Amino acid sequence: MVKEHGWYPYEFQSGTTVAVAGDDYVVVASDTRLTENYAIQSRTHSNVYKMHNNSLLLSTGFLGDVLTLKKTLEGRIKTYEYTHSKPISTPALAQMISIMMYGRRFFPYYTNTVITGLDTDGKGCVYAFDPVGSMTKQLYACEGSAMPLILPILDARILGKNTSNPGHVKRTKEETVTMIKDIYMAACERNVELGDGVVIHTLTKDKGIETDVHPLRKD
Amino acid sequence: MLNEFNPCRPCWDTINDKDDFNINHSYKNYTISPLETKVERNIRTRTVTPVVTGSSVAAFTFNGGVILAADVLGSYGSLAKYRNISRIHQVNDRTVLGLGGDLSDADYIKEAIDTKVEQDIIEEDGSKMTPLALYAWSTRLMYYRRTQLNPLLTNVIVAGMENNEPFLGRVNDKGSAYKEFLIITGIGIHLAQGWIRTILETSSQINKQQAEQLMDRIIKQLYYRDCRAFARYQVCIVTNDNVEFKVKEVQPDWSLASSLRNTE
Repeated sequence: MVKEHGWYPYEFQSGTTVAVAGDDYVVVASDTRLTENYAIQSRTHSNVYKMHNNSLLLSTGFLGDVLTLKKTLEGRIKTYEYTHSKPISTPALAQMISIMMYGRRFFPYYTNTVITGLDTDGKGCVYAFDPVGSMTKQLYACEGSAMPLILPILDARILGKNTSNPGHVKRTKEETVTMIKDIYMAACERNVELGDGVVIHTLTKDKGIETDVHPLRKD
Repeated sequence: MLNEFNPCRPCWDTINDKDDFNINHSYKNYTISPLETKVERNIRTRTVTPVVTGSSVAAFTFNGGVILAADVLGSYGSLAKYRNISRIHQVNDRTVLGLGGDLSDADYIKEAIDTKVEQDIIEEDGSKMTPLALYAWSTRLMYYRRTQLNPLLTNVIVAGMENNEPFLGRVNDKGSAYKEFLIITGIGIHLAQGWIRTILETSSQINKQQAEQLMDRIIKQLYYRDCRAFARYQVCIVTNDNVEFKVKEVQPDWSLASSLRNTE
């Protein structure tokens, strides 16, 4: 029996997130625009969520699922900490997210999530997931509405792919932050859902999470 | 007949005990075939289109409080049927709820929240629901109903004073929620949100009187251009001192109409 969709349980909010892992740091960025169809609902809505174990969750897609996933995760992180007397490490958290998201395989969390943090050796790690929890550990990740614009730039600048100078380019965290600012400023010229501001968090073992907000064009 | 036999239903003699009015056949009203599962029945019997609706709700924060406004109309499609429905609901002395969209679902939400508030009173431990708590709880409620594919088709605006700071947030029928200094639901998004945000962003913090005047201007604009709007509206102002309700009537200025060539 074919049923018509009068009401659809998903909707799509905008948001673009970028995460870059370094040798001893992780830099994550998110734009701060929240749209609903073509109306701007908020100019100060970040898609980065700080988790209790000092890792950063980046989540875009359907805001209802993002909020629910974040809330469920927060509960489970606390439970892990109470059970094991230590905060959950980012690789373990990534595995947990993967299993949680596959648990909803037949009514998915429609989110493009990335979990970032410092692994047990102190190196930055970035794990990206698809909406049903397929997990990959990556050097950098980009998700969201302007992903097709930003991802090729990250490929070229970080790994030198498809350029005349191939090879991984190592950067300090300040250089990475500057690179991400420039990338967002370039991408927001060509994407309607990107704008208003970019909030950049840098996670290091010594200084914890440092935050930087950079304004973008508001049109 | 064998294809109609359902071992889970009570059997009675349908040949000799014929009832002319089908009194004993009420099960037929519930399931369209013996093979329909409970979930399929739920999906078939839920409502996904709103019936009696309220139009836009506008809300923004000002220096020292929050102001909300909504007209008092419940529309039955394009019929202005219920002309005195309060869509702004006071939860306690520092939280109010604005509701737009389907009004029967709005009543359900109001009842659910009132039950929670009563429970708080009964517990007598001095704790009172704050706007942020209500906002978080409403998000869960709306998301839960959305996951059951049986949504509450209302937009819930939670407003109030949280730690003596103005709080304003909106939850929609799918469980998406955000907090912002300006929230407008319904068609007001297209008619008012843009220019109001410009005014609020560029001006410094406005005071209560200016906020009231600005809100009157918003409602007037919605009355001019929203087909489902109504002239009588309710304004609610929440400050650290109290929650104030006022009922006002739009004073439209139609002198502009003659200069617009497409109006007769």
